[in-house]
Amino acid sequence: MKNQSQLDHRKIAALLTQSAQQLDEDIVSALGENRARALQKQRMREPVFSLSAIGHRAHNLLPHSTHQWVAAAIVLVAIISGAAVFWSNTQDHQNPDMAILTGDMPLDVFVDK
Amino acid sequence: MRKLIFAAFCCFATLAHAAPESWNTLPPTEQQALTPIQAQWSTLPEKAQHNFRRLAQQYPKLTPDQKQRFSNRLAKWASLTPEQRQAAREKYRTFSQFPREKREQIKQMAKQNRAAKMQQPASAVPQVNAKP
Repeated sequence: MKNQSQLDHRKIAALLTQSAQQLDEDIVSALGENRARALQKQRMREPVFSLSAIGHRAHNLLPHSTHQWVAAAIVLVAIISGAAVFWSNTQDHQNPDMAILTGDMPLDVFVDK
Repeated sequence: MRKLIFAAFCCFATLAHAAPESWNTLPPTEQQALTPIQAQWSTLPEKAQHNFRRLAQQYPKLTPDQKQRFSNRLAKWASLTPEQRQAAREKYRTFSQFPREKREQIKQMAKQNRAAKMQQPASAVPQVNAKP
Protein backbone atom coordinates (compact mmCIF):
# COMPACT_ATOMS: atom_id res chain seq x y z
CA MET A 1 0.00 0.00 0.00
CA LYS A 2 2.82 2.27 0.96
CA ASN A 3 4.79 1.40 -2.22
CA GLN A 4 1.68 1.99 -4.28
CA SER A 5 1.25 5.43 -2.72
CA GLN A 6 4.94 6.27 -3.34
CA LEU A 7 4.64 5.04 -6.87
CA ASP A 8 1.56 7.18 -7.42
CA HIS A 9 3.44 10.23 -6.15
CA ARG A 10 6.37 9.44 -8.39
CA LYS A 11 4.05 8.97 -11.35
CA ILE A 12 2.29 12.22 -10.62
CA ALA A 13 5.65 14.04 -10.26
CA ALA A 14 6.90 12.52 -13.51
CA LEU A 15 3.71 13.48 -15.29
CA LEU A 16 3.96 17.02 -13.97
CA THR A 17 7.60 17.29 -15.00
CA GLN A 18 6.77 15.95 -18.42
CA SER A 19 3.86 18.34 -18.74
CA ALA A 20 5.98 21.26 -17.60
CA GLN A 21 8.60 20.43 -20.20
CA GLN A 22 5.91 20.50 -22.82
CA LEU A 23 4.68 23.95 -21.79
CA ASP A 24 5.62 27.06 -23.69
CA GLU A 25 8.66 28.91 -22.45
CA ASP A 26 6.56 32.03 -21.69
CA ILE A 27 4.21 30.07 -19.45
CA VAL A 28 7.12 28.43 -17.63
CA SER A 29 8.79 31.79 -16.98
CA ALA A 30 5.45 33.31 -15.85
CA LEU A 31 4.94 30.40 -13.44
CA GLY A 32 8.49 30.85 -12.14
CA GLU A 33 7.94 34.57 -11.55
CA ASN A 34 4.67 33.91 -9.73
CA ARG A 35 6.37 31.33 -7.56
CA ALA A 36 9.14 33.79 -6.70
CA ARG A 37 6.56 36.49 -5.82
CA ALA A 38 4.62 34.09 -3.62
CA LEU A 39 7.79 33.11 -1.76
CA GLN A 40 8.73 36.77 -1.31
CA LYS A 41 5.31 37.56 0.22
CA GLN A 42 5.65 34.59 2.51
CA ARG A 43 9.02 35.90 3.74
CA MET A 44 7.64 39.42 4.37
CA ARG A 45 4.84 38.07 6.57
CA GLU A 46 7.28 36.27 8.85
CA PRO A 47 8.03 38.31 12.04
CA VAL A 48 11.82 38.51 11.82
CA PHE A 49 13.84 40.80 14.12
CA SER A 50 16.27 42.86 12.15
CA LEU A 51 18.28 45.98 12.74
CA SER A 52 17.16 47.34 9.41
CA ALA A 53 13.58 47.45 10.75
CA ILE A 54 14.73 49.51 13.74
CA GLY A 55 16.65 51.79 11.43
CA HIS A 56 13.56 52.25 9.33
CA ARG A 57 11.48 53.20 12.40
CA ALA A 58 14.20 55.54 13.67
CA HIS A 59 14.25 57.17 10.28
CA ASN A 60 10.50 57.79 10.60
CA LEU A 61 11.05 59.43 14.00
CA LEU A 62 13.66 61.85 12.69
CA PRO A 63 12.44 65.28 11.60
CA HIS A 64 12.22 65.68 7.83
CA SER A 65 11.24 69.32 7.30
CA THR A 66 12.71 72.58 8.64
CA HIS A 67 9.65 73.11 10.86
CA GLN A 68 10.10 69.71 12.38
CA TRP A 69 13.79 70.40 13.03
CA VAL A 70 12.92 73.71 14.73
CA ALA A 71 10.26 72.01 16.85
CA ALA A 72 12.70 69.27 17.81
CA ALA A 73 15.33 71.89 18.72
CA ILE A 74 12.82 73.76 20.93
CA VAL A 75 11.88 70.56 22.72
CA LEU A 76 15.56 69.72 23.20
CA VAL A 77 16.32 73.19 24.61
CA ALA A 78 13.33 72.91 26.96
CA ILE A 79 14.53 69.54 28.23
CA ILE A 80 18.08 70.83 28.76
CA SER A 81 16.79 73.96 30.54
CA GLY A 82 14.59 71.86 32.80
CA ALA A 83 17.50 69.60 33.63
CA ALA A 84 19.69 72.65 34.38
CA VAL A 85 17.08 74.13 36.74
CA PHE A 86 16.66 70.78 38.46
CA TRP A 87 20.41 70.43 38.83
CA SER A 88 20.67 73.97 40.19
CA ASN A 89 17.97 73.28 42.79
CA THR A 90 19.71 70.09 43.80
CA GLN A 91 22.97 71.98 44.18
CA ASP A 92 21.22 74.60 46.34
CA HIS A 93 19.89 71.85 48.56
CA GLN A 94 23.35 70.36 48.86
CA ASN A 95 24.90 73.77 49.55
CA PRO A 96 22.86 75.24 52.41
CA ASP A 97 24.82 78.50 52.73
CA MET A 98 21.79 80.67 52.18
CA ALA A 99 19.78 78.78 54.79
CA ILE A 100 22.63 79.20 57.29
CA LEU A 101 22.96 82.90 56.53
CA THR A 102 19.25 83.70 56.69
CA GLY A 103 17.81 81.10 59.10
CA ASP A 104 16.51 81.53 62.64
CA MET A 105 19.53 79.91 64.18
CA PRO A 106 22.53 82.13 64.99
CA LEU A 107 25.60 81.49 62.87
CA ASP A 108 27.68 80.71 65.97
CA VAL A 109 25.66 77.56 66.56
CA PHE A 110 27.08 75.99 63.42
CA VAL A 111 30.58 77.44 63.48
CA ASP A 112 33.42 75.77 65.33
CA LYS A 113 35.29 78.10 67.64
CA MET B 1 35.91 79.91 9.21
CA ARG B 2 33.03 78.64 11.30
CA LYS B 3 35.40 76.36 13.18
CA LEU B 4 37.67 79.32 13.94
CA ILE B 5 34.78 81.39 15.26
CA PHE B 6 33.59 78.49 17.40
CA ALA B 7 37.11 77.93 18.78
CA ALA B 8 37.46 81.64 19.57
CA PHE B 9 34.10 81.62 21.33
CA CYS B 10 35.11 78.60 23.41
CA CYS B 11 38.39 80.26 24.42
CA PHE B 12 36.59 83.47 25.34
CA ALA B 13 33.97 81.62 27.37
CA THR B 14 36.65 79.66 29.22
CA LEU B 15 38.70 82.75 29.99
CA ALA B 16 35.65 84.75 31.01
CA HIS B 17 34.64 82.01 33.43
CA ALA B 18 38.13 81.53 34.82
CA ALA B 19 38.90 85.18 35.48
CA PRO B 20 38.14 86.46 39.00
CA GLU B 21 35.48 89.15 39.07
CA SER B 22 36.38 92.70 39.91
CA TRP B 23 34.00 94.41 42.37
CA ASN B 24 33.22 97.15 39.87
CA THR B 25 32.05 94.68 37.25
CA LEU B 26 29.44 93.12 39.55
CA PRO B 27 25.82 94.05 38.86
CA PRO B 28 24.41 96.64 41.31
CA THR B 29 22.02 94.13 42.89
CA GLU B 30 24.92 91.81 43.68
CA GLN B 31 27.03 94.69 44.98
CA GLN B 32 24.17 95.66 47.32
CA ALA B 33 23.93 92.14 48.69
CA LEU B 34 27.69 91.73 49.04
CA THR B 35 28.44 95.18 50.53
CA PRO B 36 29.53 93.67 53.91
CA ILE B 37 32.40 91.89 52.15
CA GLN B 38 33.31 94.60 49.65
CA ALA B 39 36.63 95.33 51.36
CA GLN B 40 37.79 91.72 51.17
CA TRP B 41 36.22 90.88 47.78
CA SER B 42 39.46 91.14 45.78
CA THR B 43 41.25 88.82 48.22
CA LEU B 44 38.63 86.06 48.00
CA PRO B 45 39.46 82.97 45.94
CA GLU B 46 37.65 82.66 42.63
CA LYS B 47 35.51 79.76 43.83
CA ALA B 48 34.43 81.69 46.92
CA GLN B 49 33.57 84.70 44.75
CA HIS B 50 31.46 82.45 42.56
CA ASN B 51 29.63 81.03 45.59
CA PHE B 52 28.99 84.49 47.05
CA ARG B 53 27.68 85.72 43.71
CA ARG B 54 25.23 82.83 43.61
CA LEU B 55 24.04 83.82 47.09
CA ALA B 56 23.79 87.46 46.06
CA GLN B 57 21.60 86.50 43.10
CA GLN B 58 19.06 85.07 45.55
CA TYR B 59 19.19 88.17 47.78
CA PRO B 60 16.34 90.12 46.07
CA LYS B 61 13.94 87.25 46.81
CA LEU B 62 14.59 87.35 50.57
CA THR B 63 12.23 88.88 53.12
CA PRO B 64 13.42 92.04 54.97
CA ASP B 65 14.24 89.93 58.06
CA GLN B 66 16.24 87.48 56.00
CA LYS B 67 18.07 90.33 54.26
CA GLN B 68 18.99 91.77 57.64
CA ARG B 69 20.35 88.42 58.87
CA PHE B 70 22.19 87.89 55.59
CA SER B 71 23.93 91.25 55.88
CA ASN B 72 24.75 90.71 59.56
CA ARG B 73 26.27 87.26 59.02
CA LEU B 74 27.91 87.57 55.62
CA ALA B 75 31.16 89.19 56.75
CA LYS B 76 31.73 86.59 59.44
CA TRP B 77 30.83 83.78 57.01
CA ALA B 78 33.33 85.13 54.49
CA SER B 79 36.04 85.35 57.14
CA LEU B 80 35.79 81.61 57.88
CA THR B 81 38.16 79.18 56.24
CA PRO B 82 36.70 76.81 53.59
CA GLU B 83 37.06 73.95 56.11
CA GLN B 84 35.12 75.88 58.76
CA ARG B 85 32.38 76.67 56.26
CA GLN B 86 32.19 73.02 55.23
CA ALA B 87 31.97 71.94 58.87
CA ALA B 88 29.16 74.45 59.40
CA ARG B 89 27.29 73.06 56.41
CA GLU B 90 27.61 69.54 57.82
CA LYS B 91 26.25 70.74 61.15
CA TYR B 92 23.38 72.49 59.42
CA ARG B 93 22.50 69.31 57.52
CA THR B 94 22.56 67.36 60.77
CA PHE B 95 20.40 70.01 62.42
CA SER B 96 17.94 69.87 59.50
CA GLN B 97 17.46 66.15 60.03
CA PHE B 98 16.50 66.54 63.69
CA PRO B 99 12.79 66.16 64.57
CA ARG B 100 10.87 69.42 64.66
CA GLU B 101 10.55 69.42 68.49
CA LYS B 102 14.27 68.91 68.88
CA ARG B 103 15.01 71.77 66.47
CA GLU B 104 12.66 74.05 68.41
CA GLN B 105 14.40 73.09 71.66
CA ILE B 106 17.78 73.94 70.20
CA LYS B 107 16.45 77.26 68.88
CA GLN B 108 15.09 78.13 72.31
CA MET B 109 18.40 77.22 73.95
CA ALA B 110 20.24 79.35 71.40
CA LYS B 111 17.95 82.30 72.11
CA GLN B 112 18.43 81.95 75.85
CA ASN B 113 22.18 81.71 75.48
CA ARG B 114 22.17 84.71 73.20
CA ALA B 115 20.25 86.71 75.79
CA ALA B 116 22.68 85.55 78.46
CA LYS B 117 25.58 86.45 76.22
CA MET B 118 24.26 89.99 75.87
CA GLN B 119 24.38 90.30 79.65
CA GLN B 120 27.55 88.24 80.16
CA PRO B 121 29.87 88.32 77.11
CA ALA B 122 32.00 85.38 78.29
CA SER B 123 29.15 82.81 78.28
CA ALA B 124 29.27 79.95 75.82
CA VAL B 125 26.94 79.53 72.85
CA PRO B 126 25.44 76.03 72.34
CA GLN B 127 26.72 74.26 69.30
CA VAL B 128 25.18 71.56 67.16
CA ASN B 129 27.36 68.49 66.91
CA ALA B 130 27.78 67.12 63.40
CA LYS B 131 27.50 63.54 64.74
CA PRO B 132 24.36 63.21 66.92
